Amino acid sequence: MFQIGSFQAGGCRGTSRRAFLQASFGLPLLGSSLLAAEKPVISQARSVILLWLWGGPSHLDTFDPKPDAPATVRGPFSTIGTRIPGIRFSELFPRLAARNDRFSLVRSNVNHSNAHHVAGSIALCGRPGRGDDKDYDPNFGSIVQRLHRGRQDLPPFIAVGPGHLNTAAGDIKAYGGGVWGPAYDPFPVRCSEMDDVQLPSLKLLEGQTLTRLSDRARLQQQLAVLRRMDRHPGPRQWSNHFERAYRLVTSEEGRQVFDLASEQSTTRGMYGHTQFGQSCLLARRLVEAQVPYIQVNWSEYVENIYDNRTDFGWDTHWLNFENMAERHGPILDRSLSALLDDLQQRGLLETTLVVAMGEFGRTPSISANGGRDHWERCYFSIWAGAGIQPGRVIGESDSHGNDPLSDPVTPLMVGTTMLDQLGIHSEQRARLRVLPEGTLIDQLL
Amino acid sequence: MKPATRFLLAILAAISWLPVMLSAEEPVEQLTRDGLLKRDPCYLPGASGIVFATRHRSPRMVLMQLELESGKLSRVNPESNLVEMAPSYSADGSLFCFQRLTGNDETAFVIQEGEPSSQRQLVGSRKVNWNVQISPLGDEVAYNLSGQIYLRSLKTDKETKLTDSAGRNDWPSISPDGKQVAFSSSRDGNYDLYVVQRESSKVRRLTATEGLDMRPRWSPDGSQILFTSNRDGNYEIYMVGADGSGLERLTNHGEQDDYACWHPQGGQIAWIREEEGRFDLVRMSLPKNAN
Repeated sequence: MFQIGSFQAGGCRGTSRRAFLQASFGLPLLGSSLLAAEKPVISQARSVILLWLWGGPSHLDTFDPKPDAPATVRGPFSTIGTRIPGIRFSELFPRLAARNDRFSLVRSNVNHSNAHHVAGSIALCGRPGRGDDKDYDPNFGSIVQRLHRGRQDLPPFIAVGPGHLNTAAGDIKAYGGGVWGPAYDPFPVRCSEMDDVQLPSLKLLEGQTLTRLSDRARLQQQLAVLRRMDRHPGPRQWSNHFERAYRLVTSEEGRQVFDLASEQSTTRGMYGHTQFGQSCLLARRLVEAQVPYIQVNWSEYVENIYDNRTDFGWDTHWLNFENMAERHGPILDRSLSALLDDLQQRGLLETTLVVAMGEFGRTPSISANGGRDHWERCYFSIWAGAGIQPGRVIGESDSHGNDPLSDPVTPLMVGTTMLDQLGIHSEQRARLRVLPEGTLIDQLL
Repeated sequence: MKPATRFLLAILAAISWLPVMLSAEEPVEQLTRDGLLKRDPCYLPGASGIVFATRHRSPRMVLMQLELESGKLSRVNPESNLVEMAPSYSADGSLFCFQRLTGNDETAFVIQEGEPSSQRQLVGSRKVNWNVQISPLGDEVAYNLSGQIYLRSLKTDKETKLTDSAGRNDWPSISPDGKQVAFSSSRDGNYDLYVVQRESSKVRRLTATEGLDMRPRWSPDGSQILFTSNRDGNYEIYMVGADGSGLERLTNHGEQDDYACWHPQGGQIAWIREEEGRFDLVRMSLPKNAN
């Protein structure tokens, strides 16, 4: 079921005019003068899927276990062998262990903050803000969006997940455009295991039907009213929003991209009927539709338990091991494995860069609460697909997973590598003043 | 070798496999079909239904009750806007207990005696108590707090720390007579099953594998313990005697089988099965009268 705003619309039928009008608010800005100035680039990746493990997964209980460390560090899980001799994963990831010859693993990521909203911002834009948690560079996806010249009926930067990234301490700042402004924020898509996809930004106007969308004059009138009421960009930009939104909701193909119900049940099942699993499936569909940057968010909130907002983020100060065994481990193992299999079977992995990471890792020492706290000094990321040499392990952490012994990988390097694989090279980055002096993670390539 | 001899040997070989084939999984009955994420099933007293936690739009997990006769599904606490899970009943059905997520890293137990209006919430401190189970005798609850097992009397409200070991201790299950508690512990390396005699504090180890053994559940007669293990590659349901003997694998399925619970009279179990990525409640009779 494809749901637009609060409407349920099966595939190509029943899209509301309200939904269309709402879409125009949520769509990112194109039409920058920069867009015309950019030259076509030869890229190895046509799309990037970033699986954003919001809250910070424990590196020790996932892909950098320390079986010889004391119990207070090691934790309760056994380790299992993988396809790469000498490399072991936590026992919670048997599917990924059977596939790690198809991806590479960085065990030496480092960040510059241990606060979620700060570290998350840095991890998504490459460097700290130039103030007190403000003035962040744009999200990697926003840079892609600004330079995008391909298909115009779908937003080039789409965030799939249960909602805008939040913490108990507040929103993440560099979720989208950062200093470039909200026009470069991702186009949000909510996806759940409950057989529906929602486009929250289409929620603004109630009572519009698809059949009335053809009445463009009427629509323009309404938009003009809304423009006066709201704080939206100037007329030219607004016109771009309008055109993008119109194309999205009136293009049958565009809408069908979001119709997960059209997938075979075996395919949906392969990913698992979880919010994250179905979000990964939607990401694959967006890749097929040539969307260049898709960020799949594990959860809306970092918090693992958060009253009625609980959506089981990776912030496992408490219940790290319980949730790893009961929920997080099996879901990530299944969904990411399915995504890699599916992309490969469809011949898309060669042109799609898949990255899975959070904003940091978790403390090597188990806390008095029986969980693990924030740890920005060492964590993991998984890389697969376009341009990535598979089967490698980059970096090594020390015996307790406290710090990298080699090859520290910063968020700046992560972003630089991702964009470079998409063909956004140093010259363009310099012109946009993003990711300055960023270097590639050479060992991955 | 003559053809007739070869034929005879082939027949004998086939017969030799018969016990293996017969020991394969018993017929499994699927009880729900929505495929949504589920956990923690628990038979209603009298076995007229099963209560379990399942994915919901808001809050994101709620308790649902399935009437086995009619197949009717209804929310246990339709007014609640908080995530709820881990339902359990005392053996006589007079007390119902479940867990509620009340805040940012805050949980509580809810005890209900009779009508929902009698619900009272316990443990209001800023602590996360997990995998709560009421005792079959209905006099206490057991839970995991920071990796140790605790018991809390429902009469005196007194909390007792049952384990104090290295590693993690979790998933407590109180025996029908209240004298023993089964649990999982990583005290010897990784999660295995243990039972503690409460009077003597003597601990005996029931399993010792490389895999993850978790969620033990006492049979109603106290002779067997159901549990989940990934020792064969993915989560499956196993059963072992309370003395550690007679280990038996009950499911053999390519995806997850987890959260097993006993029928109040024994002889049947229900659990959550993952089938093509969908999670549904299933049940089966046990292959022998094991309890």
